[in-house]
Amino acid sequence: MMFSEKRIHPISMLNSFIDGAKQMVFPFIVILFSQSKATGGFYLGGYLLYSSIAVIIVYSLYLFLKWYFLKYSYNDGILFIKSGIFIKKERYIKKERVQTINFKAGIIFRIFDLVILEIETAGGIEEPEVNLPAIKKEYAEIIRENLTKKEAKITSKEDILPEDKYSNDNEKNNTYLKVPMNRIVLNGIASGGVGIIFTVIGLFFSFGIDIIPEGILENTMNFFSRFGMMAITSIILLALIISWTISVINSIIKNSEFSISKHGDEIEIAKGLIERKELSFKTHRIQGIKIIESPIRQLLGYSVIEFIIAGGVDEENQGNTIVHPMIKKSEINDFLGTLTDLDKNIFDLNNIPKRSLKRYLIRSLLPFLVIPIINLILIFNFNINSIIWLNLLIVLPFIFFGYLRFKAGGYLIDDNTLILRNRLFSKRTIIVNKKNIQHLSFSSNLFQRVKKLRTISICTLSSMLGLEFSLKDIDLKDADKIWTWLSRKEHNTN
Amino acid sequence: MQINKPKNKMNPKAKKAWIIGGIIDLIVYLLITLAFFILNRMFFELSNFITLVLLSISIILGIFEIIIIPNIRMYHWCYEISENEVDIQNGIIVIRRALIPMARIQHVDTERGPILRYFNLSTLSISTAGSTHKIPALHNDEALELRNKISKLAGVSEDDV
Repeated sequence: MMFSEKRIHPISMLNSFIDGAKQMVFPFIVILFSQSKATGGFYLGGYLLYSSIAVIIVYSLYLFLKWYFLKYSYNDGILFIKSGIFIKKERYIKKERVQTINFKAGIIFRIFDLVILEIETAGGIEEPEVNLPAIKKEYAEIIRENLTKKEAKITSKEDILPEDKYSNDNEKNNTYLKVPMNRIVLNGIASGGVGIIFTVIGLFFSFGIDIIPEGILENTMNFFSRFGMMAITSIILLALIISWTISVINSIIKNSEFSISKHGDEIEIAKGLIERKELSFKTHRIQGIKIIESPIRQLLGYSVIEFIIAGGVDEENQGNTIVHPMIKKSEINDFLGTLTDLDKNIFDLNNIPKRSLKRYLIRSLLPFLVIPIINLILIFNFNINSIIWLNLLIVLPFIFFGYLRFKAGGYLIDDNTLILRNRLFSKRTIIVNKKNIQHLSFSSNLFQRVKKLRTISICTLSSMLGLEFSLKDIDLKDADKIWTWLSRKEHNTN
Repeated sequence: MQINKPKNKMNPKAKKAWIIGGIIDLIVYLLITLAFFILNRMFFELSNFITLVLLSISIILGIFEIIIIPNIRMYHWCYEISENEVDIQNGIIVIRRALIPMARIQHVDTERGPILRYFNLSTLSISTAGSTHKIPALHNDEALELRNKISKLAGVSEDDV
């Protein structure tokens, strides 16, 4: 089954033009307003007129060229799309990789019997792999039929989403766990932030200031200056506390009645007091497990467990699904063992070589190269010589963090599982099955090569783009070990 | 145990393409410097020192792009495509080596910018669900052949352990 090269329907250009125009409306209005302020009235002549016309002409030409160079054809199981004005791109979509095919059509399209064809291949990238903006419906249907025809056969033989070790047999069914309320409250406190107040301030300063009439602004300023620094500080403090409390309450409400249950090979997470969210997924969609200990949680002895799910189920957390918001460290091994097939002690990892410590410390201090500059400014302008002690005070926590980062680094390979652990501020552990690794890469700069160190990165699937996890400065020998573990080639020894 | 480097090196024509790209860039930088020089003389009347700085930056960048970088690339960049995986090494100061299991490859594209096209070269773009990896400056036929080879292998290989 094949059809020859076609172009998409020209009406797509009109569509794109309208979309583009919609984008330009706001800036256009802004320019119009600022112009009118200067000339004392709305004036659509002169530069504005000519440049608008020029923009329209250039944009139309661009749309035409884009349409002209976009061609698609279908032959024997492969959809072939050619595009690009200067840089030519050719995309080949194989039947076996197609996961979903969508048709979309607005009113105008329907009149002309056209559809937007969207194809997503296996893997949860946010945008569809293919987006053909205006194909005749019959062609789209031919494509759909042919690209999905063998779907049934594929999902049983070669699964589009990798089947992996975490899937369970039906012996381990029906587990149910509810997170107690005290942990939910602790979770709220640990996650609480003062973000809201900053968002409000930000919004205020971008829009509000222009709207407020002069008089009120002056009065407010006078009010504050009368009460002095104390008043202002206490008001700010109050605002922060209120903002934090709101955030904590919000988190508690969102996570109340948090339950985790498992039937056969399906896991369901339910949470929420007012708005109830129920997320369910099959165990074979798990791409990886992430365990995160933020500094506060670590002090209290708790962690968050997230599952990385292909196609993502929860929109928050970059598409990672929170499976347990507040689990005690001692409970983790058992918990993961019940939900998945994991049977390892995930805390027993190999460490980073001692010679990497220096590099970790230096990296943690790099952002603070700015300190000597501040020093110089202060010394020259204010003649403060005791600034040196201040330096030490600032630098110490970062040296400390550098050391923590070094200590947190670790890896383990066992059977088909790879475990990596690192720290930025929170300690993060990732557990992946060999099958779910999209790619494995090692990188090294000059210094690392001299010291026989490598930085390892793995990429797994997530609901958005791939999720990368890196561990810096592991020993070259360990890097080679991990490489041979993943690679299926015969390796010659040197 | 030492892992061998991937066995295929870059096409020698790639070096020419990069050098020409570098020359074009150098010309652009020099033109910018010239433009600044003229404008400076006519309007700005800032010190000529700035022109000299621009000139030296242009020349230094030019040397990098024409001489140093193409050679470093030719030395380090290599690739190998075997039945079960694609192995790519690239990078200039930071050298990166990526291992991509064949079963995870979603689609393979080819790209040709104007300079590469003149040399009949293409860039092969290998995408997994999460990332894209490029092998630049392959001969057109080779790119096509590799694309077919990978497409076939990626479609066929089993997800066994």
